[in-house]
Amino acid sequence: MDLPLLSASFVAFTLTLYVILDGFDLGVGILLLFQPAKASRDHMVDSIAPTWDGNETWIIMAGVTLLAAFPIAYSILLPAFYLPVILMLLALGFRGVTFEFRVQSKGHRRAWDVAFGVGSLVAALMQGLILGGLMQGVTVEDLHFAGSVLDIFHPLPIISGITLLFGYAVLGGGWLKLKSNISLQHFASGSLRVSAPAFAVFFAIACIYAVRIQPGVRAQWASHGIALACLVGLFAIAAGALTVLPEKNRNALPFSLGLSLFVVGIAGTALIVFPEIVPFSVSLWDAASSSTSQGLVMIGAACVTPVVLAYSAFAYWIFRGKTPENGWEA
Amino acid sequence: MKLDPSILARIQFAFTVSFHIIFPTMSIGLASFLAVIEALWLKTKDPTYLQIYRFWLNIFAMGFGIGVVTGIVLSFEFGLGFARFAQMAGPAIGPLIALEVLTAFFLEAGFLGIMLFGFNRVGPKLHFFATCMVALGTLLSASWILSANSWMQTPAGVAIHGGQLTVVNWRHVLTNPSWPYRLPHMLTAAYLTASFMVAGVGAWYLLRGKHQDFARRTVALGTAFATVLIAGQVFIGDIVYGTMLKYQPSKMQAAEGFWEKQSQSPAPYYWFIIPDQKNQRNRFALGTPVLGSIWLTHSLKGRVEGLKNTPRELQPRMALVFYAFRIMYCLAMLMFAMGIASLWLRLRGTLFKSKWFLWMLVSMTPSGIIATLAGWYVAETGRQPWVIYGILRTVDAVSPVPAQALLSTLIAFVCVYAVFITAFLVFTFRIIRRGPVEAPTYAEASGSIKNAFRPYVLDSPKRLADNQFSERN
Amino acid sequence: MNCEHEVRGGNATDSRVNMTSSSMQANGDSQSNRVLASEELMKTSDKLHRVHAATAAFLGVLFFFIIVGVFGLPLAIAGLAVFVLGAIVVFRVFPTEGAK
Repeated sequence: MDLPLLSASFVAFTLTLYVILDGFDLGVGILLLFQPAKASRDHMVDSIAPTWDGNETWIIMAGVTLLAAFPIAYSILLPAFYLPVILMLLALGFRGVTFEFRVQSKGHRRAWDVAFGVGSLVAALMQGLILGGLMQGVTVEDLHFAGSVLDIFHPLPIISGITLLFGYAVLGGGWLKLKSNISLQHFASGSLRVSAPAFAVFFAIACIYAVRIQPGVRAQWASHGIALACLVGLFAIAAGALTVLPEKNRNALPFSLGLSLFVVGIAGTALIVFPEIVPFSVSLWDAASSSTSQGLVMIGAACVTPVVLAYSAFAYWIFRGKTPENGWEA
Repeated sequence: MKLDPSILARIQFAFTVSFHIIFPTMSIGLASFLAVIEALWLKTKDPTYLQIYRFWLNIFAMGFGIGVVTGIVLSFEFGLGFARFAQMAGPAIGPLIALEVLTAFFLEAGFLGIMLFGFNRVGPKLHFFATCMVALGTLLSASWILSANSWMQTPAGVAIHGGQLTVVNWRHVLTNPSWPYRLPHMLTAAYLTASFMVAGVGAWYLLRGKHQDFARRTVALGTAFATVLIAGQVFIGDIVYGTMLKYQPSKMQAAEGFWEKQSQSPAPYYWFIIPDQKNQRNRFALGTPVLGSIWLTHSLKGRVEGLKNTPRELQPRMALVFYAFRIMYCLAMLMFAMGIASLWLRLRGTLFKSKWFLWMLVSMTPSGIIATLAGWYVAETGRQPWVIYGILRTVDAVSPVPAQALLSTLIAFVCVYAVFITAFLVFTFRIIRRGPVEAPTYAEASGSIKNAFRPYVLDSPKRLADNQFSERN
Repeated sequence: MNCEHEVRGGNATDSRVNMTSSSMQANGDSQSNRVLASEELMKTSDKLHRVHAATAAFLGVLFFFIIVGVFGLPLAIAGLAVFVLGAIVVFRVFPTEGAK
């Protein structure tokens, strides 16, 4: 039983769930900045209010699993991404508290909505920055971080940040098409027509740039060329479909297409990163803690995750269907 | 100016964790309080209970949200500020926190949506179940994180080889020597916090002569819980004291203000000292004679061990530990006195009429929070210079991050958190000023209690016209 | 009288107080004797009140010392149990004012 592999799979699983679930939460938040009508903004926030907390929890799970199973990677990556992680935490903080605060604030709702939107935007940007920083590579010496905290502010991470921004906007638009009533459908479709192609374009630029500057990425493309090319193809098709989809369509399709974009993207990223956990210097096995720690996490995860998924699905089911126009208490 | 990264890292962590602990303390207490209230409402169908539930739900929701986001910060801050600690302790506390996320965070988060937004979507029993699950989640969360922190205080179950920790016995890690006592101490602190918050707001309404039913009910409940809880807390607190005296003698030595290896006999109980750490003496000390021996050695003549029993480089800062402890302990005594007073006033039948008592309750609304914070300062400053007691020192645990980065993010945290607490206080005071609203008896999951929601909604003219209760008023 | 239309949720107590004072006015002279007698009663009950309060305070301090463990762990446990049970008895046997 290769525990490090199992643990790494769990980290990948939790990160994937986070990106998909909080992706549309953050996406809706970003789109909030472009919605002038107050009632529509309320409607948008209502669509994500009941489940945002559970969604966000997956990133804590990923981070803490890293601490438990790959403490060396945790202790290298966090100082390496010190500034974007802290900015992301503050942005997520603003986004989180705004859910409760905007309800209490009659007169300053618009200000809180801006805070919500900016928080979502900054969080998305920072997450993309971190992803790009991972691809760019982190300076490691003797299993400790030995670079500068400013290394992250280079072209590849920045392009990745913008890519993820548009990506989350795609998820957000898809979610709104799924959940909102007629008033927001037009808005959501319009957003998809912008965000889907932008996501594809920046994703392409990021991939090309990564190959150019990071030999590790080049090597992975060399060895997994066909698989990666297929994934790129799938990505292009899905993005194209999203862009040209007519406005009146089945409600779940845009969201499903957005999800598939992310699944493809994550699969590609995983292909490039594996078997390193700190690309491209430290492998999974070098960064792993002892089997007693990995074992406990995996046993706990195996027992509890199905229960978590069950009642999370139950919570989504309770709030199924279209979000009521006048809020949850109307 | 040369900035010390280790000091900055400590200040940043101290700031973020102090800010954070305020909110889970409230959330743990209020969640259980809300569960009790909802149970009483389901049993008695008394609309006042629904009023109480809706009122405190609003405040609970805000506090819970801030608690969650400031908590996420901490789970990453181990690595951000103290990467070397994370690398070393990860194998031991990492799984504990991972299990906390799995069993507690997801549970709270999963059912919070139903608790806050699901009144119209689920029946009353399922809603009550959701409330209970959130309360259970907060309790489990406290258990796991107290286990992790207690492991840092009294590490057990690990072997060290060349700077790497391996867990050899999980039972020992989880149920390390101090956890079984620190956990009930923290939980009781949280329930006490909620009791005094609830009683304080109720007392405020009684003094203002408004919302009588609501106020009486909450003052009665709050003081009843507080009375029983503070007795338990004082009991458990002494046991925690004894445990920490055994495993971290330097902490308790610093807490009492004695320097000499053996104090005079009988020993006084110090209330006020001006300690001089450099010269290992107090420049000034004020205490009650004999009381030190009585409280600290349970005898009339016992001598207390002073901080000189610990080598200088391993001594915590006495000023911090001493005053944090005194604040916590004095508040405990005050709470106990309030408990006695509330029993006394019930016997006389004047619990709601005694103005001095009600004013005391109002001023003690935040007492639980202050006492809990002070207690945590005892725990964490008294653990210094260790971050894992006896294994890793704090100065050796810091991340390879430049001081400027630490300083700028510290400033960012202070600014952002200032916004959070200001908004929280402004909105809470607004909710209190507005007061609880009339709530009809819950019918079914049909939306008939829509009028009870969101006080501000009742202000809109359309609602007033629709609101069948405007005639009754 | 004037009380009727004033009756509203929070003001129920006010109207009760109004009715008591107005009914007192209706009685007349025999009232003043009773007032004098009750003043006497209040003076002695003041002293009694102070004794009661002092006893309560003393008991409180005593229980505090016991529960904190000054007299040992077994007594602390017993003291805690007695205190909690006693408190519960007070909660049930002595209803708070205005309770149904």
